[in-house]
Amino acid sequence: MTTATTPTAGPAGAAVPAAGLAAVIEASGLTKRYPGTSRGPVTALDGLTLAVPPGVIGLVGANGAGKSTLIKILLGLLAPTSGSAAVLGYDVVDQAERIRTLVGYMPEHDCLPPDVTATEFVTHMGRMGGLPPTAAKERAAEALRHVGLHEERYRLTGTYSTGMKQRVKLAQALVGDPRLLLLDEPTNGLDPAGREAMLDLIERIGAEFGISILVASHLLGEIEQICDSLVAIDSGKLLRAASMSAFTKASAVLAVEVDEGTGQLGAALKAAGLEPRRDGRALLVRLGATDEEADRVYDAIRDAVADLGLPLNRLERRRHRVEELFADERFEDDRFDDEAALGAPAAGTAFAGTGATDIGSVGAPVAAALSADSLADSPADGPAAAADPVAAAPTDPAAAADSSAAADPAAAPADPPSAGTTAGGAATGNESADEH
Amino acid sequence: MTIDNIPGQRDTAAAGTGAESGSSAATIAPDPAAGHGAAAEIVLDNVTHWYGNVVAVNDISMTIGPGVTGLLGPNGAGKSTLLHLVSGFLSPSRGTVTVAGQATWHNPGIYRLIGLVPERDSVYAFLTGRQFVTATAKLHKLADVDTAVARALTMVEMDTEAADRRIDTYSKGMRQRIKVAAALVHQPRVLLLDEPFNGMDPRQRMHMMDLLHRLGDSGHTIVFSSHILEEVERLSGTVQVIVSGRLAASGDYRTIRRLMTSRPHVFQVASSDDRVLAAALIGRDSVNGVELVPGGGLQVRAGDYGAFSRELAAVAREHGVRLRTVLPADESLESVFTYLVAS
Amino acid sequence: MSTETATPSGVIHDIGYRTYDGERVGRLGIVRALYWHSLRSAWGLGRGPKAKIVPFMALVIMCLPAVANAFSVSRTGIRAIAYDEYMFSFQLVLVLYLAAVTPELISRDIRNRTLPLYFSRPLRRTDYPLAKVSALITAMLVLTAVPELLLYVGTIGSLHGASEVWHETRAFLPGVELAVVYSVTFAILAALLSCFTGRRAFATGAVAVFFFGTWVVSTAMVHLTGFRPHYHHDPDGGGYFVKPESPGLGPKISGLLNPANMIEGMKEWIVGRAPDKAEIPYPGGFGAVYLIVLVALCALGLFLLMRRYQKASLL
Repeated sequence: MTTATTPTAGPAGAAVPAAGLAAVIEASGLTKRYPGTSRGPVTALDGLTLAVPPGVIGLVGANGAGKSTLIKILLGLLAPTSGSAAVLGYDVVDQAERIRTLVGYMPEHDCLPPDVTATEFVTHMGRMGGLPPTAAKERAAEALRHVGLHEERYRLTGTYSTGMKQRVKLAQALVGDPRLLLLDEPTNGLDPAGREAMLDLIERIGAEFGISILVASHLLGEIEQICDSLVAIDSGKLLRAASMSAFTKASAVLAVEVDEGTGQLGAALKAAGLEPRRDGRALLVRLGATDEEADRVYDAIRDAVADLGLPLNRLERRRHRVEELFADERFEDDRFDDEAALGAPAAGTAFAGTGATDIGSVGAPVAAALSADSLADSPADGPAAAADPVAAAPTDPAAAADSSAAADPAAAPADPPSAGTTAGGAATGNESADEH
Repeated sequence: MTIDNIPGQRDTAAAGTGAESGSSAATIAPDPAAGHGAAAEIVLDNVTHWYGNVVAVNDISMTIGPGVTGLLGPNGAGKSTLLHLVSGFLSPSRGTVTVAGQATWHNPGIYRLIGLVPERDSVYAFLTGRQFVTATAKLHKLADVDTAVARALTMVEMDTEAADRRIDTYSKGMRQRIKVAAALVHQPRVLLLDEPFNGMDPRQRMHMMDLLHRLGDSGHTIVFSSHILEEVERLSGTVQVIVSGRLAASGDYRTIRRLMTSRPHVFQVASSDDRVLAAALIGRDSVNGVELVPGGGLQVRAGDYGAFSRELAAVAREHGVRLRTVLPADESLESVFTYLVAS
Repeated sequence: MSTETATPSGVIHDIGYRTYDGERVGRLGIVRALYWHSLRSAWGLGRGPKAKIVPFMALVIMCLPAVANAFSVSRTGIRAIAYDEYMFSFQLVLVLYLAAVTPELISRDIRNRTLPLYFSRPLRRTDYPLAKVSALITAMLVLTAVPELLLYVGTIGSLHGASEVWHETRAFLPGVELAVVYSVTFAILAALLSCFTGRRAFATGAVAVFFFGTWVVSTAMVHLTGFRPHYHHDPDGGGYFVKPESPGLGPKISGLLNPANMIEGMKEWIVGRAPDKAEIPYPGGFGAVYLIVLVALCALGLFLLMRRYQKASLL
């Protein structure tokens, strides 16, 4: 299925009006090339096609120009070389001014004049966004309160800490009541406490203020923490776009950590008929194919720990991580490779479930499903794109047979039509290949 | 497959700290960290450094052995000052800093031992990456400059055409890597890095982590400062936490957490019958409180971590409850760090 | 005993995030807001007390001759300064004002990297420099027209009869026109000089050096090439210095090297008055070139200014 804006959209796509609220950001074949100086033309974006539902959206990617180029195109500041993009249903080329009244932008770099107070600055930026004088004053005060600046807002911004400056930058993006915020590395330069405060703030703006947010960041952990969906770009191409839950799906691998006696526990689990594998501090155990089998595994672990009287520190299903997208061959050994495929349903279906709830508030379930669908159904030109949840996961067809059928029901009971898809099966086999 | 062989053990790069023991490698300040290795060990002995009236580093004693150690602290806590003291760029106002037994201040010989990757970008933006590393190699008066440069560039995966481009055309991640190459060109045993992951994209971060891992595993002493606790947690369980110039804690962060006995450990537990388990747990001395979480699961506050972790499985079995999830909710480096900074 | 109205009542008001459904002023309104903001900044309004020193000092100095003139005219009937010589004589103050204010208006947003915030709002790329340069021109008009006006008011206060006032007004109007030309030309050039650097000191230096430097060079060359007596050789071997009837091409071209001299030359051409001051170039019929060059210079300056803000590097 394709997005509504894709020129080649089928009848299904056509059902969604082009200016529908389903997707806050859409792109189709979006390409941007810069005329090269010495090293030939640089392709910053290469045939990007996506449709992102409202919510907090992560944007990750390799350094280069891709990420900031995309933001500038979405703001209508750069014209795409080819392809098209729309923000909140407005075309970035023809309706750029409209977009810019509805979008707030927080750049990565410092952008505050040091010799004005936060109040003055945010008020001025509010007026520059089209607010009349009184409204600008009122909303500046509100925006600064919402980002957590109180008495300090009457001080010159030159005296602010990095964390406070980031808040002012966010406030100036918020002052015009945007429908979408574009935040470029919002936690840049912050220490752990400041980082946590900023992430809380972004989550709150997304959840309570009802504003969609595109967060560009290199820190995948942050993205996982606050985002509802994720767009990953590599070398200008779409690596994958999907809901966060699709990226961080629970696997069928159980990790057990005890503070001491890991060896003993391993032996005991082996005796109980399980096949534990050591990974750092943890023992990894595969959950069974069915609920009953899974329950037997849970019980075996509980009993073994209880029998040995070991201090149990952790027992959890391993989750997939966004990072797996960026892992290349040299890091394969870092991962329990088969997790990749566990419970991997056809990407589109998985998305419809989460996507529909994401944008349920819009009240257009059909559009929601379509857009969610198209989001997952990202273009084939991304390297190792769409259906496989972990793009870089190696596949080993030979080993697939034994464990593939088993994987799914236990792993993802919530996703109905998931079991035994080929994508799931192929990658699942790798555990046995890996066990040596 | 045997369980006891530990292939590619990662999270517990804690040098000298057996994951099994989980014991005394960590201490809470003011005691210096334990552990005495033979290789290029960094030893700070009652080190204080002040700039005018500002005490940046306040009476710190620590020993950092081979392996990867994370240096943590809020902004302005004194991390950079500490790194500069170790690298011999600053003299301690009081106390001594030694690396492999040699004082670092006024000791040019120390530079053969140490590589420093500063936080600020080098000012040599007009050089190519290769020229920059070569210049550093020549400063160290290396015998075979070309080989050393090639080796250093390979190590940071900059042995591409990029090495012959000017540094001012580099991305942030490439700048970081070329600085690491320059710091590594003379094969130092100690590598000090100030915010090495700044501005790197996810893949570059992974590569840099991998590089630091390899160096740490091969017996180098690696100290890096970072604000991204999640990365520190993954790269090294061993941390030195500095708060307002004081050493607040050092060692494996999990062990540090266990030492905070005044704070109940919070666990998230999911089971086949949460209410039954909750009732059973609240009767235990090791448990301070149990709360049913709306939407499923329990939150358990365990006053006595040791007792709780040993009896949880048994209690569950006794009451016929199946444990599905047991998660220490405040044992991450982030929680540990927050507690340390707050206290 | 409690009545109905005394029933205790309580209400929790929602002070959470509010959306904004009110009026938005649109692009032109934003440009106007930026214009006013910049104009106020140019006079140090809405900024600290220190920012007001230079602009108001400049205004006071500019007005002093007009005030002195009022006294002089009322007491002795002698005029201190002519309307159309005012700007030329006090161009030093104009340049100092621009050197102080233009970097504040133009370079500051480059240095602080605030421009991306403007460009991410409904403004178009050329709106920003247009608003800035318009504000600068207006600020300059205040600095140039107010003294002229004071001069006029101070003079007519001592005049008698409608015909004298009419005559005075006829002299006053070209002065105002000249003030406008000076304001536009100087403001555009100063804005252009400031928009290439984020460093305030560099921009100040560039403005000052450009206006003073070219004036010194231009004036010196007018002097050196114009009306220079040359030695006339008599056939008998003797000789004497002669001053030429009209200057050659040298001073005419030299006058084009500085904006102020160019404006003065153009004025002389339009007024058709013979030069009585050596430092003012008298272009004669060549004056049309002065007008063309001046208009072209302003147009080019504006064009370059606009183009500068199209550059992606400012984002």
